[in-house]
Amino acid sequence: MSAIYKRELASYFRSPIGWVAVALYTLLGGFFFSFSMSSGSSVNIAGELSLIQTFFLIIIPVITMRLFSEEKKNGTEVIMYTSAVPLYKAVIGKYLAAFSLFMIMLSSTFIHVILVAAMGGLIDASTFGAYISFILLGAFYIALGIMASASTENQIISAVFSAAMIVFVMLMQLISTSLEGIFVSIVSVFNPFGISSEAINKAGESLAAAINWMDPVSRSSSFNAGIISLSPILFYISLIALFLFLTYRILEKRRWSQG
Amino acid sequence: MIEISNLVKYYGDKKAVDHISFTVEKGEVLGFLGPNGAGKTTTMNILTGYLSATSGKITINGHDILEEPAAAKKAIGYLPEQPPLYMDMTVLEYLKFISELKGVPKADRIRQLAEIMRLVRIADVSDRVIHNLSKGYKQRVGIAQAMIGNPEVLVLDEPTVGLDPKQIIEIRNLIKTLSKTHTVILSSHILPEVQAVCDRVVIINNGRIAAIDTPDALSHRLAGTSKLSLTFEGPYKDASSKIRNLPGVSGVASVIEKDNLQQIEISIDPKIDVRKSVFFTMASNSWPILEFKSLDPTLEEIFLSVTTSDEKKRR
Repeated sequence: MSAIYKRELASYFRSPIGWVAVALYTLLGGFFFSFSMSSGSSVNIAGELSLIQTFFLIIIPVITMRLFSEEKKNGTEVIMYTSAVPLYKAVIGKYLAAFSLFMIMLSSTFIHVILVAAMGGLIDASTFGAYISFILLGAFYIALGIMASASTENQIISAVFSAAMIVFVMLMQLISTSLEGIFVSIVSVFNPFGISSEAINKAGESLAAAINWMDPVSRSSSFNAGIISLSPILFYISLIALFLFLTYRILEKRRWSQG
Repeated sequence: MIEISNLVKYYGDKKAVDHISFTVEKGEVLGFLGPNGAGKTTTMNILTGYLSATSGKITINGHDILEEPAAAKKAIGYLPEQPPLYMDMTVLEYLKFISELKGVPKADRIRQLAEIMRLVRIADVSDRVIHNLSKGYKQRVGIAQAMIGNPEVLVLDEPTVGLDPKQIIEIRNLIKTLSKTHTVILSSHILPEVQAVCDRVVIINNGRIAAIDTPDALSHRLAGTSKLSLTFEGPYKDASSKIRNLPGVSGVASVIEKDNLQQIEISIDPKIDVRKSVFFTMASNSWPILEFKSLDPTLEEIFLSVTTSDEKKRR
């Protein structure tokens, strides 16, 4: 496992991908930081993080797309399948490599935290919470990206697939509210059992609540308020484990059905 | 050493491997021969644990590849048709990665890699990026990769395909060297290659085994009656009647008759060696022999006849 981890992480920096990803995040974070410093408004690390978080949509598909697709295309996946190392260890090794790159990308913002603290700025629980939510969300998207990569040998398709999944997750809150509206209006128009409008609204609300319950983005909102609780952390870890398990099953299935 | 019994593999509806069974003994070099698409690669992929069989059983040193994959895979080094190389790494980085992956103890790694690189002669390119190597070198790095961890069995899928004649000879010699210390299973559709290095040949066609034997026995078995070709100076009639009367000769036919120069084909019983008596007959009559050779069928002919007769049977 450590062999695969080391190879993957080194491989990021043998190609431009690793350097570009780190440079992009350093640039974006630095731009936002210096902009807020010079504009005289209060320096907000959480705001900086939430800005660079929107670039997950581009950067995470790019850093995960080649992890398994390229191996299948180049025929190097044979090594994974025929070595005595079990497949799930290859999945974990690759996941940790992508996650480490992600942490390296993030590390440039630590300088900003140090600067703010040194100059007597405000570093409190909400800054810490913002970091935790940023890391958990990134770690989850990386798991999505790895699953996308395992399901195709084409890197472009893999990137598009993971970007689509990330967009879906980002829009889940919007989806839940619009679904609530659609549900309420449809049921009110075709109301065969004469259900009271109050009950319909209630049902719509619970539907939205159910979707929101599953929404990783709104799960992380409490962190930004500086509340660090265990349940969202466990929620993210379970989601990551689920998608890594799916990745493993996709790879394992290929052994049985490959044509 | 390796036991394969009743191996079946379906790709969707297509039966790629159809009840293949054979065993490979320790130290043997087994050739796997068949036209493209016969099921050679599929069988090798299943043997090495890359694919799973639809049904059937494979054991390596008594370890079932499905039930004890780690133990079985440790005993096998595999070079697939397309060598599994990470193009962005240098040769040494790559081989170090493979030894770490295969769990070679740290203390042995450098010594083992040096030994392997010397044997396959890639030490001079160890610092070069694999992407920039020639195809022959890439193939050798692929073989080196298979040898890491000292597996008892080497499975090589078409190891000489796409190489130039000089590289083919080099790889073939390398395989001969390796066969002294390893059990080797090698697939090919090039017959002289199999004839040159293999102890035993499995001919496979349409996913089934068409024949298993040593290269020599295969040619004998198929020969029925063997033939000798003889070119000499002398009268045809006299010579042919004298040769026809020798024990073991079943017929004589003229191929070329030109003035005093004759080329004839002698049909013989393969169990009796008539070459000496033919020689003495010609010598005692002062008919000089210009050329004298045995017309054993080549593996090409055997291959064609085995695969076509197999197809006829199926029809």
